[in-house]
Amino acid sequence: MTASPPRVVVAGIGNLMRGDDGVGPVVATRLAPALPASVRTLVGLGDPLELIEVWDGAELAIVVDAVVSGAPPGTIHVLDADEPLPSMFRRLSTHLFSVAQVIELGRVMERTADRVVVIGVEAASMDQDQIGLTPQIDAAAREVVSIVTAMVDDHLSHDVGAVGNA
Amino acid sequence: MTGENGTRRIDVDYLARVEGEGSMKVLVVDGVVQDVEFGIFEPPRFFEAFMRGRMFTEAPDITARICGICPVAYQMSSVHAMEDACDTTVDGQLRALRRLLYCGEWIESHALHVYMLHAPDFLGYESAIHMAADHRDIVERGLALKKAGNRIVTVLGGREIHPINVRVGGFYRAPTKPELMALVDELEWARDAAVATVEWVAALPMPWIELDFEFVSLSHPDEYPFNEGRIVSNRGLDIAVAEFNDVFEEEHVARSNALHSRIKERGAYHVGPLARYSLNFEKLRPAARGAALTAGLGSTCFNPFQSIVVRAVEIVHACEEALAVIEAYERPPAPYVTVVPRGAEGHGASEAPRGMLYHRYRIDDKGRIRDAQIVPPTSQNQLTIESDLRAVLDAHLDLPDDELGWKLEQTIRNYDPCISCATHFLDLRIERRRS
Repeated sequence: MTASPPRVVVAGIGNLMRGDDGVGPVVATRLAPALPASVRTLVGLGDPLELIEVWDGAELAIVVDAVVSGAPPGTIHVLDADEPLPSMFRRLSTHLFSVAQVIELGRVMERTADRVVVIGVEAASMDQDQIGLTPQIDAAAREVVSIVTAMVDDHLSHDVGAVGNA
Repeated sequence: MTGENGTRRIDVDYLARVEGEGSMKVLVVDGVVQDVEFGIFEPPRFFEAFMRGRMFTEAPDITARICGICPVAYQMSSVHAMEDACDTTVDGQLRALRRLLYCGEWIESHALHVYMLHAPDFLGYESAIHMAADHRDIVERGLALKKAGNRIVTVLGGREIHPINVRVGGFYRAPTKPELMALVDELEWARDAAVATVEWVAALPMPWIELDFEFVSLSHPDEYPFNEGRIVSNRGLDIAVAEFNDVFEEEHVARSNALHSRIKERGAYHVGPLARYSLNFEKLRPAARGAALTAGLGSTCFNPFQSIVVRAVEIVHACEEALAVIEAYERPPAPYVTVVPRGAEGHGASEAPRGMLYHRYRIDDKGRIRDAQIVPPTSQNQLTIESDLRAVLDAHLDLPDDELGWKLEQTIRNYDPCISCATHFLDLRIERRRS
């Protein structure tokens, strides 16, 4: 049983064996060794619904997922989930419950982190005959690692009560 | 909507709450259903090619990636097939642990489908999110049930996502008795919650249609099937798993990159909870059998919409089974038996939450995979899903397009089609023409 929720959750959603859909797991894998113990990292959630259990009570949750919105491949969308997410997080997640749906469900059920940030990386290819990221998205993944690291550092350097609207 | 030339067409963006990508097209001419196509895009075909040249020991970890919802099923069918090829039997506590792991996946997958995907159909909600606004306690129960299954997979599988503890021959590490005993309280709660689930879903407004299915599932002399048994049907089929390709064939259909399975010379068949239940009712644990009878089910069930009730019954069974395995558990002296490769072909079938999952591998004497065949439940059900859609269409053509579309989505969801890792849209299109 989990005794208490982690302060910060970083989750990479996606499938490593489906091209750029693996960007979430790749980012989470690269981040994991460098993050402090108060951060829980989830690599490659096949079912984003699991987030409900994991982020319930956390201060900050950062979710990284691949998206296709028509923007140039490699574009990084960073969104606070205070407001309904745009449709790219609704329909183009390759997963059963999209990230947007899980956020909505968490909100309805009052089981969510204090703050949820969603980082969508515009995919170039989600072909299932491609294992590993395309070079463009791999570069974007490195940038996302920096963004998330900064976000987590910033959060942890503040007092618990002061970070809600960071 | 009605077009100028009398053509009616309904477009639904995508089929919500079905995992994956696919399309459905319906053509109705002069009020008669002319054509129904349910096409899906399926990843196992790619994995079959990807496996060639890999070591036989890699099969469970690679195939587990095919599905985010049922990785255990892929692991189980692959290890059984490899052990069959290598003429190795895994029994005793290791065998029991495999059943326990499968229980976890059934509980998890069925709870997800019953509560989060299927129940909203029956209650007229667009999604579980909408349902949660009115029935938060119910959705909480569903999530807690799912979590109970997840905990088994985590403890036994080594981690929550894509369990990594399974290997050909057994496990990398066998859990201790106290590790399993720590699951008991939650599983006892889950069993009671599952019984309550059966009562709840049995009382949902239930569309009534009974269809003439040929049910196919594994059947074991003593147990409700998970990992082992012969392949049987309600029309006299009774074969060893190794005879799968003698009886079943897969045909390529242009509209889908998935192969459609059929029984040679007979056609469509049905795998999944309804088939398992109807062919193995007497082997359900007593609490599950009792819950089914109390809910008004008989020993067979031919109404595909009642699959929601049968799934709930199977959750009761899986909880009971898990508790029994844990009670009898003694940590085995070794977590696995050594499996020595040999040049041979092996077959394995297990009961994934969505139905029978067949794997066949040919390996060489160094253990390299030469050839792989994976037949997932959804491709086996594809012809049956189309045939159900026809039946439902015939019965409900008078409905307005939006209601008809809803009913068709619900019909597809009866099968919990798993098209995972594929994705994107299921484009649902109904076209009505006059000649």
